Amino acid sequence: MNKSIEIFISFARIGSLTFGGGYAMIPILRKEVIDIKGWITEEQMMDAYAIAQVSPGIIAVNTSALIGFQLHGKKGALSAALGQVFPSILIITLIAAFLQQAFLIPIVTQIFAGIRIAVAALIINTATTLFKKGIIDIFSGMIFALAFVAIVIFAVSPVYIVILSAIFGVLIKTLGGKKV
Amino acid sequence: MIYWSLFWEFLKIGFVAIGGGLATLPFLYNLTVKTNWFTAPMLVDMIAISESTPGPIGINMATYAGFSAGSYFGGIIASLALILPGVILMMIIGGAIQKFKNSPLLLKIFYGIRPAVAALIAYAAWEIIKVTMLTQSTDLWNAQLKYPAIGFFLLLLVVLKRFKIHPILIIGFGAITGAIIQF
Repeated sequence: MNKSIEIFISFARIGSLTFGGGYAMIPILRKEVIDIKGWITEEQMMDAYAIAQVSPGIIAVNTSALIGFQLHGKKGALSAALGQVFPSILIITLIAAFLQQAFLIPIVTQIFAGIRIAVAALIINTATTLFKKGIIDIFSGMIFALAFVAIVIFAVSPVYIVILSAIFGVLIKTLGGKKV
Repeated sequence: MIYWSLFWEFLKIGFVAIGGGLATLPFLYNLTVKTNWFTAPMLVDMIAISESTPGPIGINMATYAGFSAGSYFGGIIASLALILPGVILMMIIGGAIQKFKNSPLLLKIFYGIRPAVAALIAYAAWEIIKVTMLTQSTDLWNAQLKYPAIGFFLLLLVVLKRFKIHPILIIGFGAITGAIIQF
């Protein structure tokens, strides 16, 4: 199969299965591009996600575009981004054109309460795998703890968290030299 | 022409909205004031529908808003304009990463960023746990636990740990259970 089309289809599948934007995408993305396709590593996925956090635009689309670029250059980035948004555009257009009222009834709300619990379980499950990749020594453990407290208690924007942790990473590795 | 103004307005949002999801919301509110494309009450319905359909919320909102303003093509143009700046930027950054893949500076940066990403994901999990498993309350200590939701959550977690099943099966299971039990 043409590589661009393959990338488009994979990311369209991810887009159609992701309920709730950026964070909710991670378990589905991981399944598709790491477990099924074996295209990238866990570390590459986390890096792409971090860069997307601090860039303008839609986090899920930017994450996809960056992974697509690593697979097949500019064509890959475009295929991944278009694949990611294709199901959204299709579904929302259909709803806006025909189904708006049907979508606001109570049973639908109730179904989505169930889906949200499922998404919570998926995120926790993926998080435990990613912790092992991200927290590899005492200093990265400290960065994790500081970042978590900053965002949960002090409501610091993820944009600053990513930028500050990058600076911390450089400082720790540079000052620590070979000991770290 | 409506398509040009849609393209231009959403391109601008794509340039400035950092932080994803509802980061586009203040800009869309601004559009209700600036244009007659859609109204603020319509935005509330758009949010409800965007949050409960698959796909990134920002894209869903843009498609919806674009559709309200310019029908079928309006939705497509608004979404594509919204993602354009980010996608071009990712091509540039992607090229730079490939070029400097083994640079010590880049490795140091990612050493610091990865645990922070783990923290962001832990935060996302915490937020969604708060919404689904605790009752609404002004402060956290007075919130009640929703036992049926917690029980279902733990069951799903055990299933996920035991079996390597596709996430969509878990989501489907959640949807069916949600239709039967009121969480």
